[in-house]
Amino acid sequence: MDLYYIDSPLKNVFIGFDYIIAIFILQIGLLFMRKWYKEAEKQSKNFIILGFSAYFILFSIGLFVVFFTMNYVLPGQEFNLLFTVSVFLRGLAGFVLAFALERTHQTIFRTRYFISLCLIGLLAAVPFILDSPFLYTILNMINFILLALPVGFTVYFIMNNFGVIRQKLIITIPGFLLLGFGLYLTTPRILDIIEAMAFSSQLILSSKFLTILGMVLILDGFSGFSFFLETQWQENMISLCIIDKTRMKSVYYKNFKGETGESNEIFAGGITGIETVIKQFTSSNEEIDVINLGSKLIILSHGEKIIVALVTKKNLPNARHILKELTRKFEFFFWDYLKYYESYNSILTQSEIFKPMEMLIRNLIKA
Amino acid sequence: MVGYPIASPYREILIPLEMAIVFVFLEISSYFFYRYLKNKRNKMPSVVELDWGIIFGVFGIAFISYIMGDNFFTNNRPVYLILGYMALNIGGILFFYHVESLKPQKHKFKFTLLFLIVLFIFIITYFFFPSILQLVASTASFLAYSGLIIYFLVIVKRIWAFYRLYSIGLFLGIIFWLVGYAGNTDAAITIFGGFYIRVLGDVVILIGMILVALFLNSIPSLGELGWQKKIKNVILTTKGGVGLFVENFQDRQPLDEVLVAGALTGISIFIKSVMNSNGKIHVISKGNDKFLFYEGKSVIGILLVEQDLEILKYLLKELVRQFEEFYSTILDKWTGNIELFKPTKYLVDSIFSVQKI
Repeated sequence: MDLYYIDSPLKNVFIGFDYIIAIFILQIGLLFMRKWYKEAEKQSKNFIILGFSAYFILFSIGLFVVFFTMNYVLPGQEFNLLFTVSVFLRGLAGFVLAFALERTHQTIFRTRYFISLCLIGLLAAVPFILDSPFLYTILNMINFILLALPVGFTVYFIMNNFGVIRQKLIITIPGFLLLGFGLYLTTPRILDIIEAMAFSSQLILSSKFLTILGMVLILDGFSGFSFFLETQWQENMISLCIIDKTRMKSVYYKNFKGETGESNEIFAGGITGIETVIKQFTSSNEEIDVINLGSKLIILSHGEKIIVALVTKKNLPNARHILKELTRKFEFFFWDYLKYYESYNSILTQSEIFKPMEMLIRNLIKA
Repeated sequence: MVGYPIASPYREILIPLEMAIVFVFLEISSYFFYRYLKNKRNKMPSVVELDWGIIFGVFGIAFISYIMGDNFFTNNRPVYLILGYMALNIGGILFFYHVESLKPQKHKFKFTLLFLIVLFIFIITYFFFPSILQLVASTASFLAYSGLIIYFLVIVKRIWAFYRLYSIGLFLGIIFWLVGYAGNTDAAITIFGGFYIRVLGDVVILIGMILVALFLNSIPSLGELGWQKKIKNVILTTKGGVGLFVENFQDRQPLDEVLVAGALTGISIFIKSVMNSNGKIHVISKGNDKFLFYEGKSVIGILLVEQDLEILKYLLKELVRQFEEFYSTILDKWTGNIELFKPTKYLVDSIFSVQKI
């Protein structure tokens, strides 16, 4: 007896697509797990990544179970048991992510584990209402939380990122929405409605493609950068030095850790020296962009008159974006000062000229 | 005798299973094409990605044809079979043409020519001797498998020294994939007496794909496979900045070894002192030029390369280690005669195992 799908010659193809969807979600979870494991090897554990990984893995197993139950198991005790297991697995997926987010970002969410507790409450109710009309209300609530959690956090994450990372993360939002919408179209109640419509097979097939498209967007949005490192890119920054190319001297220096670091005058001279030397024996006109010292890196951004050097622990797209922005804004605001730097010596001390940079940096990195 | 369309209960199992296989093949293929295009955009040499994209892509297309012919359009099954074979064949032509076009010698397109002949035979057989089409396909598959295994052996050989475990896993995955594919044929179903062998074959293919995906992903970069072509210069200097040896791997303007050695060592010393850091300089990146540094007890090794690959860092370390070991007695009391270090050329050749390009 087929509970799930309308009678169609494509029935097995629909089932095939369901398994592809579950495999795809599992892959996303495994990719997050791999990232978490790689970082854990370096003694830097990130609970959020682990949460996302467990969310996708449990969600996919829950989907496998529900697809299997709907397609191959007859109504009865076995069906009820497997159905409850699938709901639990999906609910657990939501709980793990909610717990990870509420625990790690207590100051941002201020929910005091409310979402996690809500999910536990809803899950505890499921075994007792399997034959009740409330079941679908509870299921819809769980599914809503399942979708809202990653979307909500990704929106927060988008607001705190820049450039390429922001663009990539924005892509995941329609991805999550398509995934949710596509899966909603495969629920028995919606399938009953679709069955009564013309072109029902085409509609179901379209819903599968929409779901897969959603997952491609999610996968693309979360890949190509280190989710773990980008969530804490500000913490990796050590110091920043703005170097006047012409005079080969430092015009601005900031240490983000509040430490007395490298001598900024020697540093500025050294960086411009390295630029000159390296240029002499390489054929390309490109500028040096990174000097890797193992535990530290110097990332360089080149303007017309200045070089901005950031000493950091990791070479991250967010940090490179900030550097480019700083270079552009510094030259925009202080072009004249750079041009007639010496003449300002009598009016202001040179270090005071560039004081407004503090605010600019603060706004950019929200430090 | 094998009957089509595939009947229950195997139909319910095989369609979803083979759709999952198609998905995995096409997914891996898209991943490689994406990597290929990305590398091309960044002007990085990227040969292997395109080859692998083609292989996985054509297997995915062939499986789609088989699913259609065996389950939904059985009246026209031979058409779908020939489409699948042709997909594999054209993929083989593209793949081997690309691989063989990179070889320097004459008469290099042997496999490409072979696949062209097979394609011609397929078309003739389909129109004039359709009853032996599958027999011809099986023979052609044997040739294709042999070609693929040789290719993968060459690839695995290149990374064997550095990624032994990954190489074994990768090769095992490929063997599983090809064995599973053999289990999918009508011949296997007839010999083993049922579609259960096709289910098993599909499962074996999926395991093979998981192994391939897992181990390919674990190798830091596929770019590592073409590491030899990414070396521009090898430089060895003393810690005081005196050049000991310079080797030019590409046809470019020769370096002034005294200037380069002195300058790069100066940079290294400067960075160490100014950054208040015990760390040593590892890489200087300047667009497509990367300077890799490795500091031994008394010598600094520098590689000028196009990409800072893990393999190259490992080889540089090996070069410095072996150089210091070989010249340990000379380095202690060295008086400034760099002629003594001329045999380093052989050490460099043995470590980097490359011919100048």
